[in-house]
Amino acid sequence: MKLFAKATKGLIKKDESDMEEKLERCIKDSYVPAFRTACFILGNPSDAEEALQEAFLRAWRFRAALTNESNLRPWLYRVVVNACFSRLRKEIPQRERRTNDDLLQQLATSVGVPEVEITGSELRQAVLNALEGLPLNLRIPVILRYYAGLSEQEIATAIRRRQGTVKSRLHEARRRLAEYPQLQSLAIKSYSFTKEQVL
Amino acid sequence: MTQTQAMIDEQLMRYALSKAAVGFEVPEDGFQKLLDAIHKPIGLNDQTGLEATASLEAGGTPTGGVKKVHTTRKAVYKRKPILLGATAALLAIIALAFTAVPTFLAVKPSNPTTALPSSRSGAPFPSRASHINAAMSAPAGQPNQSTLTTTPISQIVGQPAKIEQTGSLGLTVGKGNLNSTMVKLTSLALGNGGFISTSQTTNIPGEAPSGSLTLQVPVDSFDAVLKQATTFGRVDMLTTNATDVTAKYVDLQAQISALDASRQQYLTIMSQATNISDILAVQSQIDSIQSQIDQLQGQLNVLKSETTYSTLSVSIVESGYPGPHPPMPPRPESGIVKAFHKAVAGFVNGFEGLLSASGGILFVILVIAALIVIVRFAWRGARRLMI
Repeated sequence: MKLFAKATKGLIKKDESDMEEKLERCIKDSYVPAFRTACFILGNPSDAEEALQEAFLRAWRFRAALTNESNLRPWLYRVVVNACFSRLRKEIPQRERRTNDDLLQQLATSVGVPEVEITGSELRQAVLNALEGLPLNLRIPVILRYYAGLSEQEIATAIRRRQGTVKSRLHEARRRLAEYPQLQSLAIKSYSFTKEQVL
Repeated sequence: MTQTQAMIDEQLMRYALSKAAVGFEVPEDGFQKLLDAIHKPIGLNDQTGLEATASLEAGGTPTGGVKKVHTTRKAVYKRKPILLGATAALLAIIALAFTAVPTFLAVKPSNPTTALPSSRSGAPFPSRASHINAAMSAPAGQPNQSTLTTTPISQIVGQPAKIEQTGSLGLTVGKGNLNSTMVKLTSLALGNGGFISTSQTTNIPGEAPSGSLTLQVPVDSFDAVLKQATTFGRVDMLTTNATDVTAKYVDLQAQISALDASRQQYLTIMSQATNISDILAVQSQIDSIQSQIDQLQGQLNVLKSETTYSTLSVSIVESGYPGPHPPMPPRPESGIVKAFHKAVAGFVNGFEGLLSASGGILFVILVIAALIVIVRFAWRGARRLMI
């Protein structure tokens, strides 16, 4: 009996350390997309970095709650989204909100071919304006789907809604984003230019 | 005819978002800092757990300032006072309920009684049990009223309680037994060291002969006399009233003592007075004080008498005679009137029921509201920690 307990304990410990490793790897892989996702939600990199640190620390602290490896990525995104929400609800309104000017300044620092830079900068601004026009319940599924690359099922896990809800929200978001013709034209222009450059 | 809704292309959206995301500069040491925070050992000092790991400098900010990352635990701490407040409110409500509900639910007897302190020995008025016994002696179906109203005795050190006690008793005796009962009551009062202060009999043709007696009996015998008097006939009504006049008694005594001391001082002054005007002035004061003393002494004497003798008023009526005004037979009601009265009675009953239940309902609502508040805060806190 003792031997069984010892063996079980050892197995559990091994499983835990395996999961820790996987989580650490997942955090590393997801750091950049998660950071940019947070940027899209919060609107500025500084808040995004704080929210991300808070989220990942929280995720690490409660790693024991994680049992299913396949849910690791959506789970992490859920923590990130919740941290962003928390920040939007509680902390950002209490202090002076940084405006999107900071963000635009950040955008202006990007490097690249001058022609691309002009188009890219315009495109980014158009994307941000379009996202700004979306309510959070539509904005987050769009970011998670088209930027973070999560599946509808994973988004449903991340935002704790049904898959059908996610589907309808994405549909509604795409319909609303179509109301920004500039976004579409700039995206097409930039896409064609990049394709030409590659060719 | 179907109308297709214009939607942005998914691939284009992916491309646009990835392009826009490039603009967000990822902090170079961000991940390393995170790793350091994750693997930092948790201390037992003031910064523990998340606080210790989360109080990282968030470098690479546009402003270049040093900031502390706010943690969930801090947010929970911020909520702690709210939770404590809600818990305190709930406890206060429960405490209030525990004090208020017994009073609320207490059944008010038709005969208000007040328990006497057990420390009082040799109480000169009847116990509650004796009244209950007396009242129970009346045949069933007959009007029966027994009232005992007593005032708690103030505990005054060194002064025995002074109780002023009165009672009234209504008796119905058999036909032709009025006189014999009055004689029995007189004998009872005299036998217990008391006397009859008033006595009256009435005999009007066509009406039941009746009489009344006022018995003055020593306070110590009041209980026994009352008990025995109730055996002389059927008890229709019994009321006793005891009042604690100890405070008044002591007050009068103190006033008299103070005035007496003043009088003594004036007498001393008068003995030293040399001229007539002084003597007259002092004499006037002494007369005034003496008058006050006499007045107070009179009140004290009355009080002494009242607390020495208890008064029991007994009214006796013979049975077997029709009442002076027989009740009129009720007029038969029509169906509509009956229904209307029934409806009014139902409405009143319903309203009374609602009103009496409102206290309890309000209490339950308050408790549920407090629980909801607590559970909500606890749930929020737990959710923040568990995600």
